[in-house]
Amino acid sequence: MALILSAAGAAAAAPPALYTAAQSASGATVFAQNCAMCHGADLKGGAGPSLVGQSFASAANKYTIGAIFSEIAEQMPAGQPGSLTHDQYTAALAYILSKNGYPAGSTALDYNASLGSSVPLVSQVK
Amino acid sequence: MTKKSNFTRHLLATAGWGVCAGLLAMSLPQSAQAGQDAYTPVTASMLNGAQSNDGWLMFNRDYSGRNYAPFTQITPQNVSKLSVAWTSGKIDIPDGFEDTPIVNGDYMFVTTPKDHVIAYNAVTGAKLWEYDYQVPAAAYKTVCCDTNNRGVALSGNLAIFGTLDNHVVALNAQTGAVVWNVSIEDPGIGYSISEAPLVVNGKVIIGSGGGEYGARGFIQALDAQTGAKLWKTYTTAAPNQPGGDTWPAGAYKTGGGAPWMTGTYDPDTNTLFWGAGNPGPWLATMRPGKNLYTDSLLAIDPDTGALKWYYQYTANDTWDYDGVNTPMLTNLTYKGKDYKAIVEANRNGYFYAIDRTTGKLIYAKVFVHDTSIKGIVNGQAVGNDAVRPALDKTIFTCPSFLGGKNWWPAAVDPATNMAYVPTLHACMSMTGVPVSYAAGLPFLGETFKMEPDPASPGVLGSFQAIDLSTGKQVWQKKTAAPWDGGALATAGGVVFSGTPNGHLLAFDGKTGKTLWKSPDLGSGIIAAPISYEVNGKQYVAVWSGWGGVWPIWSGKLGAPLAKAPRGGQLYVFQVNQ
Repeated sequence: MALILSAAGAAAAAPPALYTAAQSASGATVFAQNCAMCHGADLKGGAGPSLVGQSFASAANKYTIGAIFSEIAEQMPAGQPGSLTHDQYTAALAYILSKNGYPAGSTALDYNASLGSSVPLVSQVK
Repeated sequence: MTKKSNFTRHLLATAGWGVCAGLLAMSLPQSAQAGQDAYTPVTASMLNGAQSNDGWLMFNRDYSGRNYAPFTQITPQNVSKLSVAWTSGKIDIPDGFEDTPIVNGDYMFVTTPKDHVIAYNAVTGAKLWEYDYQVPAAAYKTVCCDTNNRGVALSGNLAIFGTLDNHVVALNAQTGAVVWNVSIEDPGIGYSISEAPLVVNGKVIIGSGGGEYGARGFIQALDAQTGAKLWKTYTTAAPNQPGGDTWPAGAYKTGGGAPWMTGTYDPDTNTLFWGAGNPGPWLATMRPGKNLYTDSLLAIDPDTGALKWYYQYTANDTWDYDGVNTPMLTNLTYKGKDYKAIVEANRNGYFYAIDRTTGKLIYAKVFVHDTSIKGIVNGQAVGNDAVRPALDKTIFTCPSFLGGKNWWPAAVDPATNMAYVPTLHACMSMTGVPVSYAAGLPFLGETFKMEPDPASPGVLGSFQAIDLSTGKQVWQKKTAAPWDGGALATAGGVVFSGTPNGHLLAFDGKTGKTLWKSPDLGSGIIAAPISYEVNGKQYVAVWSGWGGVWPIWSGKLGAPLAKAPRGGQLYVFQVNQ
């Protein structure tokens, strides 16, 4: 396990598994109902910014999971910030990660841990 | 191969659009130029006389802002014979098409979402050129209400437009080549531009958006020939300005007041009229005072940008009742007295008539179910304190934050003496929540939900005619769907407006009788129709292309239209005799 983690940390090409497949599947519904009207059903943006690819999170942006998740959990949806449940917010993040090339794994995203996470968020989608 | 936008890919894929796709502002192929008249440069006197011009020279047709065309070929008797003269073909951008086409001679200039500009032959639909503006990703962070662009302004040989990243760009009207490109604010910090500019006496006048981000609103004047910045007038008063004492210390800096809709102009008094939007943050308890000049009509000297007078529609607004709906210049008689007036159907649910020479109220009459405003006292709307949200206090009131009427242009017909007003029937709940300002983030301080109006069950929209001499409703068409498109009045007696279901409707302006309903135009209509004549023949044009503010902000009320088809298409109609 330690070996895998250090390898992932060293090689930017292998993003960590941060969420479960069940979370991202549930997140697809959360996204469609609460986010897609501004960010687009394909996450490519509209009235809100793109949430996929290099126009969202390039290496140069130096985004972290914590910074992005804080924005989502505390500012979104724009009309009803903070109105979703913790599980819905983590599911939405899982879905966004899945669309940006982050793999599903066996450990679920945790709401509080994600708010403070310093794990880099760099889209794998070119 | 470089990545191409959806727009460009669409152009490449569309047959019959000529060969000039994929590059910016290509010169015309010889075949497209054949049959195109020499371009007539747009002079100040042409703009002053726009009302009688055969084209449609500016956003609201002429400086009066009435959206009234003097053409008489299309009448209640023959409007049922309208048929499609030409269309743009489907433009595969899934955002709202809010553009008003601009016509000069046989040249038509349109804009699409994401700030693309296209020129067509107004008779045949042949595409003359396209300009594919590149909006940087940062700009999309701070657009509130879709990626819309409402159109160009004309001056000399230029077609001039604003962008979501706060540039003003002038193109050669005959070729689409960039003549000048000026940044008036940075993208991503709150500002955006969606309105069409207005050209007055050689100046380009344009206002900022950004009221949901605490961006301090401003109106900017540029030299039309060079783009040089001439004056800039902020819409919130600083401490050293008149009205500066209507804000808590420093609050004017993040106080909004975005003048995000094109204004009008009175040549007789050399006065610009521009509306200012909602104060920021939405939660009024954070900014006690009248918050001048938010939610106000501003009368401005176009030579200097100096404020001549103001009329505030909603003081210390907490319901997002922007004062930006078009101030339409018209003469009217009220209680036996003649006035040079401005009429405006306000977000706060009142239809206003204001003396445009003095800024004094003539009348204000409620035109939609209204619990936020208790009435008019001493010439001013009086807000209902019982329905003002506060921290942890939830209220329910009407109209909703989208207003009794949103941005869609209304129209005035001087012959029927009526205004034609697209109307929303909805209410809302609001709760105050803590907020602190951060550049580029929403600055609201309220959560909010659209709710049905208990006074009009099953009705979200209507199109109504208001008698200018009384402020009272003459006729009204109610619909289950919101009324979400602009109005056009014509001297032939026919009034046009489109529906979210994608139909352009024609009404008898006097009676409201529905005279004609277009076929399904493929997507909902949120834009305003126009009418123009070329070679003695009258046309009516309108964009379909659903999107804009309703799908984003309507919440559960938007469910019936959540899967409405998207994509834009310009339709031009004619009467076949």
